[in-house]
Amino acid sequence: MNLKNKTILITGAAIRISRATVLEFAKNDAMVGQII
Amino acid sequence: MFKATLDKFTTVDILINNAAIGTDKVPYLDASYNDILEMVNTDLIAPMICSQHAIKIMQKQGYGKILNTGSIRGWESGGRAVAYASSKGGLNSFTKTLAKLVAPNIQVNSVAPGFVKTRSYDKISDEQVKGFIDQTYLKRWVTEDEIADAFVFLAQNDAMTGQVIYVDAGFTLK
Repeated sequence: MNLKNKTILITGAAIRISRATVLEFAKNDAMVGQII
Repeated sequence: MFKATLDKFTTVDILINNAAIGTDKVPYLDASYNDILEMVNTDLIAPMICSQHAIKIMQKQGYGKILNTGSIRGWESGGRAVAYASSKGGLNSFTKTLAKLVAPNIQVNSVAPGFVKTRSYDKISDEQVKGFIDQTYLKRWVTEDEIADAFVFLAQNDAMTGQVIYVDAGFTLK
């Protein structure tokens, strides 16, 4: 799957692994937003 | 959460079930029903419920991926945290069983981290650090970025489902 503009919902956003993962996805042009 | 995501982004292409309690708060033999329930609810049942919601959306889309965050403690017998290991072991089974149920349009996989140097380990002694590291063949911590790499890999790969990928510096080789 090409990650460009894909929506990736990650639970546990306060966990450092989540933050690293979000940054890594952002490098691949995935959608990065925040839902609380 | 899913409604808010759909309202803002219109699709849920990938769900990553990452929220978890990192280990037993109370030793198993002293744990109450509620202590155990909190662990199982957070580390196993929440991913199951979130996946239900995601699958309904993904089935309408005709595609999607679910990635779970497992643990080396879900591999065979895990450490001394009984409720945590049981929950993560259950998550491994959930990953494989769900992968069969929702194929061929939806893929389900898991990343199982080994010892990652997060703040959970900030207060442990050098001797304890050595104890953890000595259990790995590569004699090192895993970094958060290396876990993130595995998630991105599984997110991009369309040929894998029902797999648990251990990013563990060789811990599970023992």
